[in-house]
Amino acid sequence: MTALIMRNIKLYFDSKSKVFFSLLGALISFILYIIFLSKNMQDSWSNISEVVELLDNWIVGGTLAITAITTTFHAASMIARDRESDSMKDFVLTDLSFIKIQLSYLISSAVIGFIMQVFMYVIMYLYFKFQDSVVIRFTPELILIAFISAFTWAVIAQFIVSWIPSTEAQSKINGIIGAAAGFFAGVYLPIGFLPSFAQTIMKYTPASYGAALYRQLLTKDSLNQAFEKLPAHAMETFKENMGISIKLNQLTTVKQEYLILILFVLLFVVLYSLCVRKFKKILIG
Amino acid sequence: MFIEVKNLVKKYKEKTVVDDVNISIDEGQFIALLGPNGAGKSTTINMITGLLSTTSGEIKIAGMKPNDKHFGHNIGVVFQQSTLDKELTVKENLKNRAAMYRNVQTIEDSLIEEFELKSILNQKYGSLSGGQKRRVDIARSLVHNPKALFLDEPSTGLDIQTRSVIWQTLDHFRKENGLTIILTTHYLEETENADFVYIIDHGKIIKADTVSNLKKNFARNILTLETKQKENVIELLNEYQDIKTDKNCLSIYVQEKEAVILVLNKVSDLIENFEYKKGTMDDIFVTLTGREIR
Repeated sequence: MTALIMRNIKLYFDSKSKVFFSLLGALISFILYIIFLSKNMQDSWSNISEVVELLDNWIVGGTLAITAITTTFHAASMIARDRESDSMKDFVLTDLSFIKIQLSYLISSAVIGFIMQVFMYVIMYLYFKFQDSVVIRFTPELILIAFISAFTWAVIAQFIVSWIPSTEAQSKINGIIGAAAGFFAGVYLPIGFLPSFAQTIMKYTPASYGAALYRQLLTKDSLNQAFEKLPAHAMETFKENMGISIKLNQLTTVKQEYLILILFVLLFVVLYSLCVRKFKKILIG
Repeated sequence: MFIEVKNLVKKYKEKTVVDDVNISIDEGQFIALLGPNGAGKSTTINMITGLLSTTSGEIKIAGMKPNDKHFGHNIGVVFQQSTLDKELTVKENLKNRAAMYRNVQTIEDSLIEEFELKSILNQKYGSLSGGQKRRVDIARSLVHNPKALFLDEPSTGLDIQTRSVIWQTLDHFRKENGLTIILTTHYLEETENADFVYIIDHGKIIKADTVSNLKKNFARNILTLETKQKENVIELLNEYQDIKTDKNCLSIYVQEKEAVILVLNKVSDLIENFEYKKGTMDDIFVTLTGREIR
């Protein structure tokens, strides 16, 4: 399995355009923020102290959530390429079983998603440090979130790609995912500013919970600082509007957000196992 | 029997693509499946190699069934299109595939020598010529030292020189290692070296025999006579029914050399020149299917 995993990872990083385009969604969110979202938001939350630090940390959370989505989808489209070139058949004829082959794709997508999140974190960390003199928060738990996000989206991406494994369809899907991820993670427009119908849809996707999880951790210090002198419900409202917590019955806690992501993983793992015979037929013929 | 295929059938809904195919192959033999495009050759090969499920029928290679664990270890397959990664070098590609097999650590030097890969080992696979790529493809299929090699139309789009180099190498490899080779092709000349030929059309095996038997029974040897007195010659050869005429030439089918000598003796005063051409696999195909290969 290692051979196939390493090959997939190498092929991904060998292609500069693939790396760039898989980050495009995340880069757009980051650049939009720099160019005008930050100014807009700072104005609308001007009653909060330390608003720059808070919002910088907030955008890092959303951008990392997008990165996890787009990079794993791009990585998983390798499945389509390998089906079209008959490489998948070639793999099946080796001593690797179909399940091990699928697992190898899953692991490589997850590893790629993880590495790219780390990469985006470093870029944003350096930018905000030099531009806004803001230090983006770091705790080891971020690594855990990056890992879980990468894995969640790798499972989902693999499930979707396995249904339509053509490179042409995949490049279209990747385009849609790249654009949609920014909305679902509530980056272009925070969840609280969307109509309630859109909010409901967002609550059914793991994107908002992945983003929330990042934001809870990243904005923790600056939130406490910013809302020190304001009433408690002000912070709650801010968290809800900005997608730092998701309002189900109550605002979700960090633990609940982990749990929801894990439930999504389990759901798609079950769905995948139910379809695995079908996928074998689709991918090998 | 090393490879045993019994009553193989593949149906897609109502359409029968492979219809009751039986094949048996001894170890070390070179077998060709010959047929026009769409005859069901690739479908047959894909079922034998376990890539495609069968509708019914039985397949065994070295005692193993396609669903058995490590069935793939016994076989190598060269696909119609290249399955290797164009972004990686030849060496990386071969090492990578080798690592997907148990107990295969290195690429054997003999493989690299035999297929003349040394000079291109560090070149990107995507930058190679068609012939070089095919040599690498075949080397890849032999990386785990399989007992049987399946080649699915391996030389489509290759020039004649490259084809002959590949076949020389494979022939040598077969004799050295006792490799069993199963080839599908619609190039008739490629089957000339085969021990046994299965001719497939519309999913059915319409003939299975050795090349020499096929030639003896189905190839028609043609004697062409060049003459200025066609009518007189035709009169002398009245026992031959099927005489074709063209300008100063007439041709007849004569199978045995004795008969040829007899004819030539009869008409020697009337002809300027003659030509005797042995039948090829092309003729066999036309005779058996009633049409040219598509």
